[in-house]
Amino acid sequence: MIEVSSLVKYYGDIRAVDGVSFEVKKGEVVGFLGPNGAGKTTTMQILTGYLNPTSGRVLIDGIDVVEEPVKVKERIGYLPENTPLYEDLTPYDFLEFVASVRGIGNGRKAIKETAELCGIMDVLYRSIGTLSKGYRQRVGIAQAILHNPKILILDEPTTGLDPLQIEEIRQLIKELGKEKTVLLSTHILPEVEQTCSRVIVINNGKIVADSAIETLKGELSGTSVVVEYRGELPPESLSVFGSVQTLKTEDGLYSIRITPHESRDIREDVFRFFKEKDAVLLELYRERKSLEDIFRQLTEQ
Amino acid sequence: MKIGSLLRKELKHLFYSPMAYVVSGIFLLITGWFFTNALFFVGEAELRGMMDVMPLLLMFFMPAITMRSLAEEKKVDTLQILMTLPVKEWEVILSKYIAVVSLFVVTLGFTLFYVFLLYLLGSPDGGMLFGNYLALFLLGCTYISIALFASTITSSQVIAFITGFSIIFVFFVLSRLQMILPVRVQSVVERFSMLSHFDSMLRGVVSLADVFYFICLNLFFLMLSTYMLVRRKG
Repeated sequence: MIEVSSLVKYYGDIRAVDGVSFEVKKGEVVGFLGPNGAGKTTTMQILTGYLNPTSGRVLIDGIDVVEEPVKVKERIGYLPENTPLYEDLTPYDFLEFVASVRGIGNGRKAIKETAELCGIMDVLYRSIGTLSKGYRQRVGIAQAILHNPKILILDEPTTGLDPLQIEEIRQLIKELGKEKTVLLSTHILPEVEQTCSRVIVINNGKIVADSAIETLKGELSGTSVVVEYRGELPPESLSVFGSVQTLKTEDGLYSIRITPHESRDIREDVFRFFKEKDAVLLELYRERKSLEDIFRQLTEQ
Repeated sequence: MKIGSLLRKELKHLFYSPMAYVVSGIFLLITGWFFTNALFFVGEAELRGMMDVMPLLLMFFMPAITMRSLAEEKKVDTLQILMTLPVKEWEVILSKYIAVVSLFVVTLGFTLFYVFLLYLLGSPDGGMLFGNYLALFLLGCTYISIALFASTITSSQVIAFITGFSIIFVFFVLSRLQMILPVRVQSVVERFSMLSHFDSMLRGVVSLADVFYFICLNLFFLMLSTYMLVRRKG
Protein backbone atom coordinates (compact mmCIF):
# COMPACT_ATOMS: atom_id res chain seq x y z
CA MET A 1 0.00 0.00 0.00
CA ILE A 2 2.78 2.41 0.97
CA GLU A 3 6.21 1.92 -0.53
CA VAL A 4 8.97 4.30 0.39
CA SER A 5 12.44 3.92 -1.04
CA SER A 6 15.56 5.87 -0.08
CA LEU A 7 13.70 9.02 0.76
CA VAL A 8 15.84 12.10 1.35
CA LYS A 9 14.64 15.57 2.26
CA TYR A 10 16.82 18.61 2.80
CA TYR A 11 15.69 21.85 4.39
CA GLY A 12 18.45 24.09 3.19
CA ASP A 13 21.55 22.38 4.54
CA ILE A 14 19.73 20.34 7.13
CA ARG A 15 19.01 16.76 6.22
CA ALA A 16 15.64 16.13 7.83
CA VAL A 17 15.07 12.73 6.24
CA ASP A 18 18.09 10.66 5.40
CA GLY A 19 17.53 7.64 3.17
CA VAL A 20 14.35 6.26 4.65
CA SER A 21 12.92 3.09 3.11
CA PHE A 22 9.99 1.05 4.34
CA GLU A 23 6.84 -0.63 3.22
CA VAL A 24 3.40 -0.81 4.74
CA LYS A 25 1.15 -3.62 3.57
CA LYS A 26 -2.58 -3.51 3.16
CA GLY A 27 -4.44 -3.63 6.45
CA GLU A 28 -1.40 -3.03 8.64
CA VAL A 29 -1.42 -0.54 11.48
CA VAL A 30 2.10 0.77 11.72
CA GLY A 31 3.48 3.04 14.38
CA PHE A 32 6.01 5.61 13.35
CA LEU A 33 8.07 6.24 16.41
CA GLY A 34 10.82 8.68 17.16
CA PRO A 35 11.88 11.61 19.31
CA ASN A 36 10.75 15.09 18.36
CA GLY A 37 12.57 16.34 15.31
CA ALA A 38 13.45 12.86 14.08
CA GLY A 39 11.83 13.41 10.70
CA LYS A 40 8.44 11.77 11.28
CA THR A 41 6.36 14.75 10.25
CA THR A 42 8.50 15.52 7.22
CA THR A 43 8.23 11.92 6.04
CA MET A 44 4.46 11.99 6.46
CA GLN A 45 4.21 15.29 4.64
CA ILE A 46 6.03 13.75 1.72
CA LEU A 47 3.78 10.68 1.76
CA THR A 48 0.69 12.87 1.61
CA GLY A 49 2.03 14.96 -1.26
CA TYR A 50 2.34 18.11 0.83
CA LEU A 51 6.09 18.28 0.27
CA ASN A 52 8.31 16.94 -2.47
CA PRO A 53 11.24 14.75 -1.51
CA THR A 54 14.73 15.94 -2.43
CA SER A 55 15.30 12.44 -3.76
CA GLY A 56 13.81 9.01 -3.40
CA ARG A 57 10.46 7.62 -4.37
CA VAL A 58 7.08 7.14 -2.72
CA LEU A 59 4.42 4.86 -4.14
CA ILE A 60 0.96 4.98 -2.62
CA ASP A 61 -1.28 2.19 -3.87
CA GLY A 62 1.20 1.89 -6.74
CA ILE A 63 0.98 5.57 -7.70
CA ASP A 64 3.97 7.89 -7.58
CA VAL A 65 3.22 10.77 -5.24
CA VAL A 66 5.39 13.29 -7.07
CA GLU A 67 4.03 12.46 -10.51
CA GLU A 68 0.36 12.22 -9.65
CA PRO A 69 -0.21 14.01 -6.35
CA VAL A 70 -3.95 14.52 -6.86
CA LYS A 71 -4.59 10.80 -7.38
CA VAL A 72 -2.59 9.98 -4.27
CA LYS A 73 -4.41 12.60 -2.22
CA GLU A 74 -7.72 11.05 -3.22
CA ARG A 75 -6.65 7.79 -1.60
CA ILE A 76 -5.24 9.19 1.62
CA GLY A 77 -6.83 10.60 4.73
CA TYR A 78 -4.39 12.81 6.60
CA LEU A 79 -4.43 14.33 10.04
CA PRO A 80 -1.63 16.89 10.25
CA GLU A 81 0.32 17.49 13.44
CA ASN A 82 -1.42 19.83 15.92
CA THR A 83 -4.66 19.47 13.95
CA PRO A 84 -4.86 22.76 12.08
CA LEU A 85 -8.50 23.63 11.40
CA TYR A 86 -10.48 26.57 10.04
CA GLU A 87 -11.44 28.29 13.27
CA ASP A 88 -14.15 30.44 11.73
CA LEU A 89 -16.12 27.55 10.24
CA THR A 90 -18.38 25.11 12.03
CA PRO A 91 -17.44 21.41 11.87
CA TYR A 92 -20.40 20.92 9.55
CA ASP A 93 -19.29 23.68 7.17
CA PHE A 94 -15.75 22.33 7.27
CA LEU A 95 -16.75 18.73 6.62
CA GLU A 96 -19.12 19.84 3.91
CA PHE A 97 -16.24 21.65 2.24
CA VAL A 98 -14.02 18.57 2.45
CA ALA A 99 -16.86 16.37 1.15
CA SER A 100 -17.51 18.58 -1.85
CA VAL A 101 -13.83 18.97 -2.77
CA ARG A 102 -13.41 15.22 -2.50
CA GLY A 103 -16.48 14.77 -4.66
CA ILE A 104 -18.40 12.62 -2.19
CA GLY A 105 -21.78 11.93 -3.78
CA ASN A 106 -24.04 12.01 -0.75
CA GLY A 107 -22.13 14.49 1.38
CA ARG A 108 -24.81 14.99 4.00
CA LYS A 109 -25.05 11.27 4.72
CA ALA A 110 -21.27 10.84 4.84
CA ILE A 111 -20.93 13.79 7.23
CA LYS A 112 -23.61 12.43 9.51
CA GLU A 113 -22.11 8.93 9.63
CA THR A 114 -18.60 10.19 10.18
CA ALA A 115 -19.73 12.67 12.81
CA GLU A 116 -21.46 9.88 14.68
CA LEU A 117 -18.43 7.60 14.45
CA CYS A 118 -16.16 10.36 15.75
CA GLY A 119 -18.63 11.57 18.37
CA ILE A 120 -18.94 15.18 17.24
CA MET A 121 -22.70 15.30 16.62
CA ASP A 122 -23.17 17.65 19.58
CA VAL A 123 -20.79 20.29 18.31
CA LEU A 124 -21.51 20.07 14.59
CA TYR A 125 -22.91 23.59 14.40
CA ARG A 126 -20.58 25.35 16.81
CA SER A 127 -17.65 27.36 15.54
CA ILE A 128 -14.48 25.24 15.53
CA GLY A 129 -12.59 28.03 17.31
CA THR A 130 -14.67 27.47 20.45
CA LEU A 131 -14.19 23.70 20.64
CA SER A 132 -12.06 21.88 23.20
CA LYS A 133 -8.88 20.12 22.17
CA GLY A 134 -10.56 16.71 22.29
CA TYR A 135 -13.35 17.77 19.97
CA ARG A 136 -10.93 19.49 17.62
CA GLN A 137 -8.96 16.28 17.37
CA ARG A 138 -12.11 14.37 16.50
CA VAL A 139 -13.03 16.93 13.87
CA GLY A 140 -9.54 16.46 12.45
CA ILE A 141 -9.98 12.70 12.35
CA ALA A 142 -13.48 13.06 10.88
CA GLN A 143 -12.02 15.18 8.11
CA ALA A 144 -9.44 12.49 7.40
CA ILE A 145 -11.85 9.55 7.21
CA LEU A 146 -14.81 11.32 5.59
CA HIS A 147 -14.14 9.90 2.14
CA ASN A 148 -13.48 6.41 3.49
CA PRO A 149 -9.85 6.34 2.34
CA LYS A 150 -7.86 3.15 2.01
CA ILE A 151 -4.91 4.74 3.74
CA LEU A 152 -4.92 6.79 6.88
CA ILE A 153 -1.93 8.87 7.93
CA LEU A 154 -2.17 10.37 11.40
CA ASP A 155 0.52 12.66 12.75
CA GLU A 156 0.51 12.50 16.54
CA PRO A 157 -3.23 12.00 16.90
CA THR A 158 -3.26 12.04 20.69
CA THR A 159 -0.93 14.86 21.73
CA GLY A 160 -2.43 17.37 24.09
CA LEU A 161 -5.40 15.24 25.08
CA ASP A 162 -6.31 14.14 28.58
CA PRO A 163 -5.99 10.41 29.44
CA LEU A 164 -9.67 9.72 28.88
CA GLN A 165 -9.67 11.38 25.48
CA ILE A 166 -6.46 9.58 24.55
CA GLU A 167 -8.11 6.26 25.32
CA GLU A 168 -11.13 7.19 23.17
CA ILE A 169 -9.03 8.27 20.23
CA ARG A 170 -6.98 5.08 20.47
CA GLN A 171 -10.12 2.98 20.43
CA LEU A 172 -11.26 4.91 17.37
CA ILE A 173 -7.96 4.29 15.63
CA LYS A 174 -8.12 0.59 16.51
CA GLU A 175 -11.60 0.46 15.05
CA LEU A 176 -10.45 2.16 11.86
CA GLY A 177 -7.39 -0.06 11.65
CA LYS A 178 -9.59 -3.10 11.12
CA GLU A 179 -10.31 -2.15 7.53
CA LYS A 180 -7.72 0.47 6.65
CA THR A 181 -4.01 0.76 6.28
CA VAL A 182 -2.88 3.09 9.02
CA LEU A 183 0.41 4.85 9.58
CA LEU A 184 0.48 6.84 12.78
CA SER A 185 3.32 8.78 14.29
CA THR A 186 3.82 9.30 17.96
CA HIS A 187 6.45 9.72 20.61
CA ILE A 188 4.28 8.04 23.20
CA LEU A 189 5.34 4.44 23.47
CA PRO A 190 2.34 2.77 25.10
CA GLU A 191 0.30 4.09 22.21
CA VAL A 192 2.29 1.99 19.79
CA GLU A 193 2.02 -1.07 22.00
CA GLN A 194 -1.73 -0.63 22.19
CA THR A 195 -2.70 0.24 18.67
CA CYS A 196 -0.04 -0.96 16.26
CA SER A 197 1.02 -4.31 14.95
CA ARG A 198 4.33 -3.06 13.70
CA VAL A 199 6.67 -0.29 14.62
CA ILE A 200 9.17 1.74 12.67
CA VAL A 201 11.62 3.66 14.82
CA ILE A 202 13.21 6.71 13.29
CA ASN A 203 15.98 8.86 14.70
CA ASN A 204 17.95 11.70 13.10
CA GLY A 205 16.15 11.07 9.82
CA LYS A 206 17.16 7.41 9.68
CA ILE A 207 15.26 4.23 10.38
CA VAL A 208 16.84 2.45 13.34
CA ALA A 209 14.34 -0.37 13.68
CA ASP A 210 11.46 -1.80 11.70
CA SER A 211 9.71 -4.91 12.97
CA ALA A 212 6.69 -6.34 14.70
CA ILE A 213 6.42 -5.09 18.25
CA GLU A 214 6.88 -8.55 19.75
CA THR A 215 9.96 -9.24 17.63
CA LEU A 216 11.42 -5.92 18.57
CA LYS A 217 10.94 -6.64 22.23
CA GLY A 218 12.35 -10.13 21.82
CA GLU A 219 15.36 -8.98 19.86
CA LEU A 220 16.34 -6.31 22.23
CA SER A 221 15.27 -7.70 25.54
CA GLY A 222 18.14 -9.45 27.20
CA THR A 223 18.13 -12.93 28.65
CA SER A 224 18.45 -11.67 32.20
CA VAL A 225 16.49 -13.56 34.82
CA VAL A 226 15.24 -12.23 38.11
CA VAL A 227 14.86 -14.63 41.05
CA GLU A 228 13.35 -13.96 44.39
CA TYR A 229 13.89 -16.48 47.13
CA ARG A 230 13.97 -17.00 50.87
CA GLY A 231 16.66 -18.91 52.64
CA GLU A 232 20.28 -19.23 53.56
CA LEU A 233 21.57 -19.45 50.04
CA PRO A 234 24.20 -16.76 49.47
CA PRO A 235 23.64 -14.81 46.23
CA GLU A 236 27.22 -15.48 45.14
CA SER A 237 26.41 -19.14 44.71
CA LEU A 238 24.22 -18.20 41.77
CA SER A 239 27.21 -16.88 39.85
CA VAL A 240 27.55 -20.28 38.19
CA PHE A 241 24.88 -19.06 35.74
CA GLY A 242 26.37 -15.68 34.99
CA SER A 243 26.99 -12.32 36.55
CA VAL A 244 24.92 -11.66 39.62
CA GLN A 245 23.44 -8.42 40.79
CA THR A 246 21.61 -8.06 44.07
CA LEU A 247 18.49 -5.96 43.70
CA LYS A 248 17.11 -6.25 47.19
CA THR A 249 17.79 -8.08 50.45
CA GLU A 250 15.40 -7.95 53.34
CA ASP A 251 14.93 -10.36 56.27
CA GLY A 252 16.33 -13.30 54.41
CA LEU A 253 14.44 -12.35 51.32
CA TYR A 254 16.65 -11.98 48.27
CA SER A 255 15.92 -10.47 44.91
CA ILE A 256 18.68 -11.22 42.44
CA ARG A 257 19.23 -10.47 38.77
CA ILE A 258 21.28 -13.01 36.86
CA THR A 259 22.66 -12.08 33.48
CA PRO A 260 24.01 -15.18 31.70
CA HIS A 261 27.33 -14.86 29.91
CA GLU A 262 26.07 -16.44 26.71
CA SER A 263 22.58 -15.68 25.54
CA ARG A 264 20.35 -18.63 26.38
CA ASP A 265 17.32 -19.32 28.51
CA ILE A 266 18.60 -20.28 31.97
CA ARG A 267 15.27 -20.45 33.78
CA GLU A 268 15.09 -24.21 33.77
CA ASP A 269 18.62 -24.60 35.13
CA VAL A 270 17.94 -22.08 37.86
CA PHE A 271 14.82 -23.93 38.90
CA ARG A 272 16.69 -27.27 39.11
CA PHE A 273 19.46 -25.56 41.06
CA PHE A 274 17.00 -24.36 43.69
CA LYS A 275 15.29 -27.74 43.83
CA GLU A 276 18.62 -29.42 44.47
CA LYS A 277 19.50 -27.00 47.26
CA ASP A 278 16.00 -27.30 48.65
CA ALA A 279 15.67 -23.52 48.77
CA VAL A 280 12.37 -21.66 48.64
CA LEU A 281 11.96 -20.06 45.26
CA LEU A 282 9.30 -17.35 45.39
CA GLU A 283 9.58 -15.87 41.97
CA LEU A 284 11.46 -16.57 38.75
CA TYR A 285 10.97 -14.59 35.58
CA ARG A 286 12.81 -13.40 32.53
CA GLU A 287 13.25 -9.69 32.66
CA ARG A 288 11.34 -7.93 29.88
CA LYS A 289 12.46 -4.60 28.68
CA SER A 290 9.75 -2.07 28.24
CA LEU A 291 9.40 -0.32 24.95
CA GLU A 292 10.86 2.70 26.70
CA ASP A 293 14.12 0.91 27.31
CA ILE A 294 14.25 -0.37 23.78
CA PHE A 295 13.50 3.06 22.43
CA ARG A 296 16.22 4.62 24.52
CA GLN A 297 18.66 1.94 23.45
CA LEU A 298 17.85 2.50 19.78
CA THR A 299 17.92 6.25 19.75
CA GLU A 300 20.95 6.73 21.94
CA GLN A 301 23.37 5.43 19.35
CA MET B 1 -16.55 21.31 -9.58
CA LYS B 2 -13.58 21.68 -7.27
CA ILE B 3 -13.23 25.39 -7.99
CA GLY B 4 -16.85 25.85 -6.92
CA SER B 5 -16.29 24.00 -3.63
CA LEU B 6 -13.10 25.92 -2.94
CA LEU B 7 -14.78 29.20 -3.80
CA ARG B 8 -17.67 28.55 -1.42
CA LYS B 9 -15.20 28.00 1.40
CA GLU B 10 -13.27 31.18 0.57
CA LEU B 11 -16.48 33.21 0.47
CA LYS B 12 -17.43 31.86 3.88
CA HIS B 13 -14.07 32.95 5.28
CA LEU B 14 -14.51 36.42 3.79
CA PHE B 15 -18.10 37.02 4.78
CA TYR B 16 -17.93 35.36 8.20
CA SER B 17 -15.19 37.74 9.26
CA PRO B 18 -15.90 41.33 10.27
CA MET B 19 -12.96 42.42 8.13
CA ALA B 20 -15.01 42.44 4.94
CA TYR B 21 -17.72 44.64 6.42
CA VAL B 22 -15.35 47.06 8.08
CA VAL B 23 -13.19 47.56 5.00
CA SER B 24 -16.13 47.79 2.61
CA GLY B 25 -17.92 50.16 4.94
CA ILE B 26 -14.98 52.52 5.20
CA PHE B 27 -14.49 52.32 1.46
CA LEU B 28 -18.09 53.37 0.81
CA LEU B 29 -17.83 56.12 3.40
CA ILE B 30 -14.78 57.66 1.75
CA THR B 31 -16.04 57.36 -1.82
CA GLY B 32 -19.37 58.74 -0.67
CA TRP B 33 -17.66 61.73 0.80
CA PHE B 34 -15.80 62.48 -2.44
CA PHE B 35 -18.98 62.07 -4.42
CA THR B 36 -21.17 64.30 -2.27
CA ASN B 37 -18.34 66.80 -2.00
CA ALA B 38 -18.46 67.32 -5.73
CA LEU B 39 -22.23 67.25 -5.72
CA PHE B 40 -22.97 69.81 -3.01
CA PHE B 41 -19.95 72.04 -2.75
CA VAL B 42 -18.83 72.19 -6.35
CA GLY B 43 -22.30 71.63 -7.74
CA GLU B 44 -21.24 69.08 -10.28
CA ALA B 45 -23.16 65.88 -10.82
CA GLU B 46 -20.31 63.68 -11.91
CA LEU B 47 -18.07 60.88 -10.74
CA ARG B 48 -14.81 62.58 -11.61
CA GLY B 49 -13.88 63.42 -8.03
CA MET B 50 -14.54 59.92 -6.87
CA MET B 51 -12.73 58.37 -9.78
CA ASP B 52 -9.64 60.46 -9.16
CA VAL B 53 -9.11 59.10 -5.66
CA MET B 54 -10.10 55.55 -6.51
CA PRO B 55 -6.68 54.28 -7.63
CA LEU B 56 -5.17 55.50 -4.38
CA LEU B 57 -8.00 54.27 -2.20
CA LEU B 58 -7.98 50.83 -3.73
CA MET B 59 -4.24 50.69 -3.20
CA PHE B 60 -4.99 50.39 0.50
CA PHE B 61 -8.24 48.49 0.40
CA MET B 62 -7.37 45.70 -1.98
CA PRO B 63 -4.31 44.48 -0.04
CA ALA B 64 -6.38 44.80 3.14
CA ILE B 65 -9.04 42.37 1.99
CA THR B 66 -6.59 40.08 0.20
CA MET B 67 -3.67 39.81 2.63
CA ARG B 68 -5.36 37.08 4.67
CA SER B 69 -5.90 34.69 1.76
CA LEU B 70 -2.77 32.56 1.99
CA ALA B 71 -0.78 34.16 4.78
CA GLU B 72 -3.37 33.04 7.31
CA GLU B 73 -3.55 29.48 5.95
CA LYS B 74 0.21 29.28 6.27
CA LYS B 75 0.29 30.75 9.73
CA VAL B 76 -2.28 28.42 11.31
CA ASP B 77 -1.09 25.55 9.10
CA THR B 78 -4.48 24.88 7.51
CA LEU B 79 -2.50 24.94 4.29
CA GLN B 80 -1.62 21.36 5.19
CA ILE B 81 -5.29 20.45 5.17
CA LEU B 82 -5.96 22.38 1.99
CA MET B 83 -2.97 21.13 0.01
CA THR B 84 -3.47 17.49 0.96
CA LEU B 85 -6.96 17.57 -0.51
CA PRO B 86 -7.07 16.44 -4.12
CA VAL B 87 -6.79 19.95 -5.56
CA LYS B 88 -4.28 21.59 -7.85
CA GLU B 89 -2.34 24.69 -6.90
CA TRP B 90 -3.92 26.84 -9.59
CA GLU B 91 -7.40 25.88 -8.41
CA VAL B 92 -6.58 27.11 -4.92
CA ILE B 93 -5.17 30.40 -6.20
CA LEU B 94 -8.02 31.00 -8.63
CA SER B 95 -10.70 30.32 -6.01
CA LYS B 96 -9.10 32.72 -3.57
CA TYR B 97 -8.79 35.33 -6.30
CA ILE B 98 -12.42 35.01 -7.41
CA ALA B 99 -13.60 35.19 -3.79
CA VAL B 100 -11.87 38.52 -3.15
CA VAL B 101 -12.96 39.85 -6.54
CA SER B 102 -16.54 38.98 -5.58
CA LEU B 103 -16.27 41.00 -2.40
CA PHE B 104 -14.84 43.87 -4.43
CA VAL B 105 -17.65 43.67 -6.98
CA VAL B 106 -20.28 43.70 -4.23
CA THR B 107 -18.69 46.78 -2.67
CA LEU B 108 -18.41 48.43 -6.04
CA GLY B 109 -22.05 47.55 -6.62
CA PHE B 110 -23.07 49.76 -3.73
CA THR B 111 -21.47 52.77 -5.37
CA LEU B 112 -23.93 52.35 -8.23
CA PHE B 113 -26.23 54.28 -5.93
CA TYR B 114 -24.19 57.38 -6.80
CA VAL B 115 -24.74 56.62 -10.48
CA PHE B 116 -28.44 56.35 -9.79
CA LEU B 117 -28.29 59.81 -8.17
CA LEU B 118 -26.47 61.16 -11.19
CA TYR B 119 -29.26 59.99 -13.46
CA LEU B 120 -31.76 61.58 -11.11
CA LEU B 121 -30.02 64.93 -11.12
CA GLY B 122 -28.74 65.17 -14.65
CA SER B 123 -28.05 63.26 -17.78
CA PRO B 124 -24.65 61.63 -17.51
CA ASP B 125 -22.84 60.05 -20.42
CA GLY B 126 -23.67 56.35 -20.22
CA GLY B 127 -20.69 55.26 -22.27
CA MET B 128 -18.34 57.18 -20.07
CA LEU B 129 -19.83 55.69 -16.91
CA PHE B 130 -19.44 52.24 -18.33
CA GLY B 131 -15.82 52.99 -19.17
CA ASN B 132 -15.26 54.30 -15.66
CA TYR B 133 -16.65 51.23 -14.01
CA LEU B 134 -14.85 48.86 -16.33
CA ALA B 135 -11.62 50.69 -15.56
CA LEU B 136 -12.29 50.49 -11.82
CA PHE B 137 -13.11 46.81 -12.04
CA LEU B 138 -9.97 45.98 -13.99
CA LEU B 139 -7.77 48.09 -11.76
CA GLY B 140 -9.23 46.52 -8.63
CA CYS B 141 -8.76 42.99 -9.98
CA THR B 142 -5.16 43.77 -10.84
CA TYR B 143 -4.52 45.07 -7.35
CA ILE B 144 -6.08 41.91 -5.95
CA SER B 145 -3.90 39.63 -8.04
CA ILE B 146 -0.81 41.52 -6.86
CA ALA B 147 -1.93 41.43 -3.23
CA LEU B 148 -2.66 37.73 -3.58
CA PHE B 149 0.86 37.13 -4.79
CA ALA B 150 2.15 39.08 -1.79
CA SER B 151 0.08 36.82 0.44
CA THR B 152 1.75 33.70 -0.98
CA ILE B 153 5.25 34.76 -0.02
CA THR B 154 4.74 35.16 3.73
CA SER B 155 2.81 33.85 6.69
CA SER B 156 2.41 37.32 8.15
CA GLN B 157 -0.62 39.34 7.11
CA VAL B 158 1.18 42.58 7.88
CA ILE B 159 4.06 41.73 5.59
CA ALA B 160 1.59 40.57 2.93
CA PHE B 161 -0.17 43.93 3.15
CA ILE B 162 3.00 46.00 2.96
CA THR B 163 4.49 43.94 0.14
CA GLY B 164 1.26 44.05 -1.85
CA PHE B 165 0.94 47.76 -1.34
CA SER B 166 4.56 48.36 -2.35
CA ILE B 167 4.33 46.40 -5.60
CA ILE B 168 1.12 48.18 -6.54
CA PHE B 169 2.71 51.49 -5.66
CA VAL B 170 5.68 50.85 -7.95
CA PHE B 171 3.37 50.04 -10.87
CA PHE B 172 1.34 53.07 -9.99
CA VAL B 173 4.12 55.66 -9.93
CA LEU B 174 5.83 54.40 -13.06
CA SER B 175 4.12 57.16 -15.04
CA ARG B 176 5.37 59.82 -12.65
CA LEU B 177 8.80 58.33 -12.69
CA GLN B 178 9.20 58.58 -16.43
CA MET B 179 10.01 62.27 -16.38
CA ILE B 180 13.40 61.57 -14.91
CA LEU B 181 14.11 58.73 -17.31
CA PRO B 182 15.80 58.92 -20.72
CA VAL B 183 13.40 59.64 -23.58
CA ARG B 184 13.93 56.27 -25.18
CA VAL B 185 12.80 54.40 -22.08
CA GLN B 186 9.90 56.74 -21.38
CA SER B 187 7.45 55.23 -23.81
CA VAL B 188 8.22 51.73 -22.60
CA VAL B 189 7.69 52.69 -18.99
CA GLU B 190 4.52 54.50 -19.95
CA ARG B 191 3.16 51.24 -21.31
CA PHE B 192 3.75 49.46 -18.03
CA SER B 193 2.20 52.15 -15.88
CA MET B 194 -1.22 51.29 -14.55
CA LEU B 195 -2.19 54.90 -14.20
CA SER B 196 -1.78 55.76 -17.86
CA HIS B 197 -3.98 52.83 -18.87
CA PHE B 198 -6.48 53.67 -16.20
CA ASP B 199 -6.63 57.34 -17.18
CA SER B 200 -7.22 56.60 -20.81
CA MET B 201 -10.12 54.37 -19.86
CA LEU B 202 -11.54 57.02 -17.55
CA ARG B 203 -11.90 59.34 -20.49
CA GLY B 204 -14.43 56.89 -21.79
CA VAL B 205 -12.22 55.45 -24.44
CA VAL B 206 -12.16 51.73 -23.88
CA SER B 207 -9.37 50.46 -26.06
CA LEU B 208 -8.60 46.81 -26.38
CA ALA B 209 -4.96 47.51 -25.58
CA ASP B 210 -5.87 48.88 -22.14
CA VAL B 211 -8.14 45.94 -21.31
CA PHE B 212 -5.50 43.54 -22.58
CA TYR B 213 -2.87 45.21 -20.39
CA PHE B 214 -4.87 44.66 -17.22
CA ILE B 215 -5.81 41.11 -18.11
CA CYS B 216 -2.16 40.29 -18.76
CA LEU B 217 -1.08 41.73 -15.43
CA ASN B 218 -3.76 39.68 -13.68
CA LEU B 219 -2.70 36.50 -15.40
CA PHE B 220 0.93 37.19 -14.68
CA PHE B 221 0.43 37.60 -10.95
CA LEU B 222 -1.99 34.68 -10.72
CA MET B 223 0.58 32.49 -12.40
CA LEU B 224 3.30 33.82 -10.14
CA SER B 225 1.14 33.04 -7.10
CA THR B 226 0.53 29.52 -8.36
CA TYR B 227 4.24 29.12 -8.93
CA MET B 228 4.95 30.19 -5.35
CA LEU B 229 2.52 27.58 -4.10
CA VAL B 230 4.15 24.88 -6.22
CA ARG B 231 7.62 25.98 -5.19
CA ARG B 232 6.69 25.68 -1.52
CA LYS B 233 6.70 21.89 -1.90
CA GLY B 234 10.49 22.09 -2.32
